[in-house]
Amino acid sequence: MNRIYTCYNCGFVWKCDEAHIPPVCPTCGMGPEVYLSEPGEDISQRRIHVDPPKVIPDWDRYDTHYHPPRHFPAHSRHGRIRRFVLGYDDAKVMYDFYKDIFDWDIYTCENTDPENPLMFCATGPGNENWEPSVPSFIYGYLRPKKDDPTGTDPLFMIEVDSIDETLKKVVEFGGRVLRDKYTEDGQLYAVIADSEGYSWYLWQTPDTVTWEEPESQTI
Amino acid sequence: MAEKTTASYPYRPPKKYPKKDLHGRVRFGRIFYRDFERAQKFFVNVFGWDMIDAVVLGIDDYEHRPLFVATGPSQIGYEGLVPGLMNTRLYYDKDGTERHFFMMEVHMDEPITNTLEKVVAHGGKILGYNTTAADDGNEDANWFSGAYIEDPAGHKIYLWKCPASRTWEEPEAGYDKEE
Repeated sequence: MNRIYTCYNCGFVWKCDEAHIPPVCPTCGMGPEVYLSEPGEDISQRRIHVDPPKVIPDWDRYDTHYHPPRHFPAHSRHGRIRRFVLGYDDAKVMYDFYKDIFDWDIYTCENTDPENPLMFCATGPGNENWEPSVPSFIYGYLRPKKDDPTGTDPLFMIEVDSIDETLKKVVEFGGRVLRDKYTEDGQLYAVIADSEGYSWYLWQTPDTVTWEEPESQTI
Repeated sequence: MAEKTTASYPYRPPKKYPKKDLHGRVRFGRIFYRDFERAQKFFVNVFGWDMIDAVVLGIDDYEHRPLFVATGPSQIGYEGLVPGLMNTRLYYDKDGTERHFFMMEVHMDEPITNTLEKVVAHGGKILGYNTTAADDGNEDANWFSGAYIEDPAGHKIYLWKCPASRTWEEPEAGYDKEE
């Protein structure tokens, strides 16, 4: 029989059959002794309320024991993983794979090679500006592998406030610049390797951002 | 093939996703470190990321533990809180052979094998199941049911089937509701 469980250490809520209670809270890792349990299927009907923990302003940022996520400042999208970039060898094979199996909505960007186009992909619900309308997933690109001059095929794109400032920090903290700042379709990008050697695209927040967009919000 | 457009974005919004289904959403990254202290200094100082130990994934060796990472505003469970960003797991890469990949959800109301058959038919490969994923009877109860695949271009992807624990009240479980 399903029950609703609330972890009173971190406030995480889930429902599951009482025969399959997870051995630790999926969020904070505490054991079942800290779960509150009540009958039911509908989380909105639960009788037990646990206030989620509040942000701890002076939390040691190198301490990785469970703590509520830090506050991310307003008017900045710095550090967010915003796009995936999947290199391809055959455009049609890649397009069919993700459209037919995973129901992506894919369009071809203008002014790209018709035989090997850059394609942008919606992977779930979105707004008119082709940004997700729901938290915790991203949209991204399909692009020909040959278009990556670094040869490292970075998979993720991180948005930053300033490419110039970020590149300085990348080097300061042990990373490398694989491709210096460049412009594509009016946007500023760079490619870096992190301290562990893995490559990433950087994308500077466009000047056109109004900070009213759902994807520009913070808490 | 995809439609041709005359602007950076097509003159239409993306298609609607009206089903209670997260199939196909790119939900979580899987990234790697060789030296945790070095990587943490880099990601905290360059990108401002926040990290917690991923106890639920099992920690046998604390120095090489897996972590959950918030890359932007996040919920208490380190799921993203606002649209348009993705959080990630950070794993130890023992021998330097790993490459970044991501987790994508698959249908909750059918066996993972249905999707895997399509993957193979479209030129992809199945790299492996999580042990419980092959047992259809356990998929709905287990938090770790999934399969590793490779797309036709050679990208590794983890397909995850969310257990029935989803309440559909979670912010990340939104879908296009009819007006």
